Amino acid sequence: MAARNIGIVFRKELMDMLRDRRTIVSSILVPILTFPLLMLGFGVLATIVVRKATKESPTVMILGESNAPALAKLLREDKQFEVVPPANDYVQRINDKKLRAVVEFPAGFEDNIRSKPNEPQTLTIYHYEGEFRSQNVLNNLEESVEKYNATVVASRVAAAKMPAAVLSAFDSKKENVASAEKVTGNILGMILPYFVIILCLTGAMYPAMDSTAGEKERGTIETILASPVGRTDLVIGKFLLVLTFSIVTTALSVLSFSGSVLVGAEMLSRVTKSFVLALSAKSAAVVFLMIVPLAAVFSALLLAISLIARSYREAQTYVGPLIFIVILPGMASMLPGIELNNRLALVPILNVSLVAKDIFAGQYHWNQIGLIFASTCVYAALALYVAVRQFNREEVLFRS
Amino acid sequence: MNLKNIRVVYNKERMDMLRDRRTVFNMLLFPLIMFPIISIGFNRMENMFREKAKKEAAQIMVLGAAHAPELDARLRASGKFEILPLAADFKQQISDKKLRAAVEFSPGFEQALHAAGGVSPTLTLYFYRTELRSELAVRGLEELIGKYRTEIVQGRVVSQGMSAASLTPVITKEQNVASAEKVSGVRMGAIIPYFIIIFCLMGALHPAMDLTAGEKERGTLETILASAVSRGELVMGKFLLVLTTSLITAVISLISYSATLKFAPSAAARGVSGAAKDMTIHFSLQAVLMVFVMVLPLAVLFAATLVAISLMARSYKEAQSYTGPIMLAAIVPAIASILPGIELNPALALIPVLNVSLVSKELLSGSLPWASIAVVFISTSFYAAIALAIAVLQFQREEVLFRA
Repeated sequence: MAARNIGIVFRKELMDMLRDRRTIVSSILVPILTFPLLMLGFGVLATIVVRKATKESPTVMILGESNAPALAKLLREDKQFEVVPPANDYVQRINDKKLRAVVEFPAGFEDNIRSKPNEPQTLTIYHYEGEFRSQNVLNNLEESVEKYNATVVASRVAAAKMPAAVLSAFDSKKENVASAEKVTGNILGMILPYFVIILCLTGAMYPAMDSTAGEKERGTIETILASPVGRTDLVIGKFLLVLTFSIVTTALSVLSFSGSVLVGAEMLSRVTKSFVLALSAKSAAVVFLMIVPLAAVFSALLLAISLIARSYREAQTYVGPLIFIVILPGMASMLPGIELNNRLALVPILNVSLVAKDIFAGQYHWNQIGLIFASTCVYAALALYVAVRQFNREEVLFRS
Repeated sequence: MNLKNIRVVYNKERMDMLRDRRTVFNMLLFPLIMFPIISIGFNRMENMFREKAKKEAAQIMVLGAAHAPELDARLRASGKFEILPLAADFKQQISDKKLRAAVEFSPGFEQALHAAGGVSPTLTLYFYRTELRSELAVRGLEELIGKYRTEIVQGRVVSQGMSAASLTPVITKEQNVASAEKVSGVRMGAIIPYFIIIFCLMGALHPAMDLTAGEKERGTLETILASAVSRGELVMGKFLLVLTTSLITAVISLISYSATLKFAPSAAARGVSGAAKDMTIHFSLQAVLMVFVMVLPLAVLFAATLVAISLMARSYKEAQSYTGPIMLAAIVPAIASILPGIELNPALALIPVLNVSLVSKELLSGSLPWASIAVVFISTSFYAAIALAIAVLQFQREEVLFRA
């Protein structure tokens, strides 16, 4: 092994790559543009949907209104609902989503409330189970009924000459003790590790296939094998190039993601006010450190696999399923309630996904971070060893 | 244009395709294994962890337990919580996920409750917002405390001669009036059109690139252009093959999905709806067939667009870089239909992709909005015709066919 030879192979591959327009597009332009465009698309759509939903008040029908004049008046005065005149086909109209819910008061509803305080009265709300707007209306109607309930109870208690404080018994408060960084980090930490891992893989994919199967296809692999550069130097040079692309792609996407999130958070904070985005430089740096050995695992593995193929397209066929193998453990960070322990810290991909989640949430378990870094390095070394072995086998290099 | 010539081109391309292992994999195997993996694998895993998190006794801390002996005893007896000894840094421990939540009772909590007409004492719940296990622990605490509060209030009212029932003047009864088909429609109807659209696009992707840019790459394009078949026939033959693979992929994905639902309904349904409720899936054959009718012009649109675009590329690889953004452009409106509360209206019925996914959602929930169906079908057919015209036009231009 000679560092100089490795450098020569690396520079040759880099020049090759940069001449190809597709490389520039797929490893630089696409990662930069993807997130802003996705964000923009979803942002615009979400704004339209929210604006529309807030503008149109849902339609509600009241049956037996004369039985409950006071509560019906409360509902009619509520600007949330648009009360439509009663009709017999209300079940059909709810099914057709023309009507969101129906409130039905039985005969003598309010009279009984006044005269028979010991008998609860029942009202029925007809709705469309599972349908988003119908469920919203149902919840709002129940809230209104709850308010009415409270006023009735308060008046009953007052009539019995008891203080109103009897009903509350005690105050209960809820206090969030996690910092703003931890609260948003917990959400970001669910999505971001998954994206970073997938990008790491896709960034390595193209150069890995091009510098192995692609060379076979172009018939240049014999030439390079005949050069005085040793097989190991060759593999390491190619490997370093693939690794560089993987890391560059990932770094660019994360930068572009953070950029669009920052702009998006600006906009969001205007709406929700409470949304504080806190991604510290420290957490980004530590996650990056965890990603480097993982990128090495992917790069070496992809090299070893695509070397088996005789053409670029055949390589795609072999490499395609790998995405699925990676997606499942990569998604671990999105699973609620799965937490890192010493055993899971040894499972490749899954461990990085989980530790990145914790790091984004502002939590640094240094011994696990060390364990994961070391174990991923071991896997990377193994994968690289397999790749070197593949390059030494003539039946793989010249499969017919 | 001559039908026979179109068929000759079509048959030639079909034979070419089926010889390629990759096509068969993409078209048949991939959609077949996708659904079971995604819907059963991931969702079952998610549910498993959620259930596990729910069942596990949550670590909590009770501050000022001496002020509320009765409530403290109930917390200990409930079995839902593991009560840790007091520590001053409980807030830090919650932040570090070592402790899920903490309850704090104000001094003299229960004494104040039992002394008639006194001041209301206070209890505080400390938790980690957005952290699942912490939120679950707080919910459990609130439930237990709520029950306790009701008992206290009832006791007070009864001691003053009022009945406990007088505290609930109105009981609200929720009555679902939507049919079972409609209920499962809103749950599953959102995700199925999305998958069909994506698979429609994916099925068309590889053949569209292979039949145009791939042919350039292999140097066979000149030969086929020199044959007696006209340009228009050539495009139609190629386009029809791309359409066929696109539809086959969509059909297979739908069948695989239905099979997944049939054999593992609870896992798939739970995963999609997010509700642990026991539910059955009701889809009528008619609804599914109607969805296919709506997808048909969309598949034409995809096939023609992809053929027109990948013809510009000089090689298969270059074609991939052009079609990548198209994928993205199609996925975003397809996902939009999953957003809750977005409903079909005349303006949205004109937006390609989004309109089909929204109208399919309606169809699967059992309604047949004929006016919207017509608008969506006609507008998509119109876009498809434009795309096809562009594809034919592209094939007439030498500077596209022989780009240097």
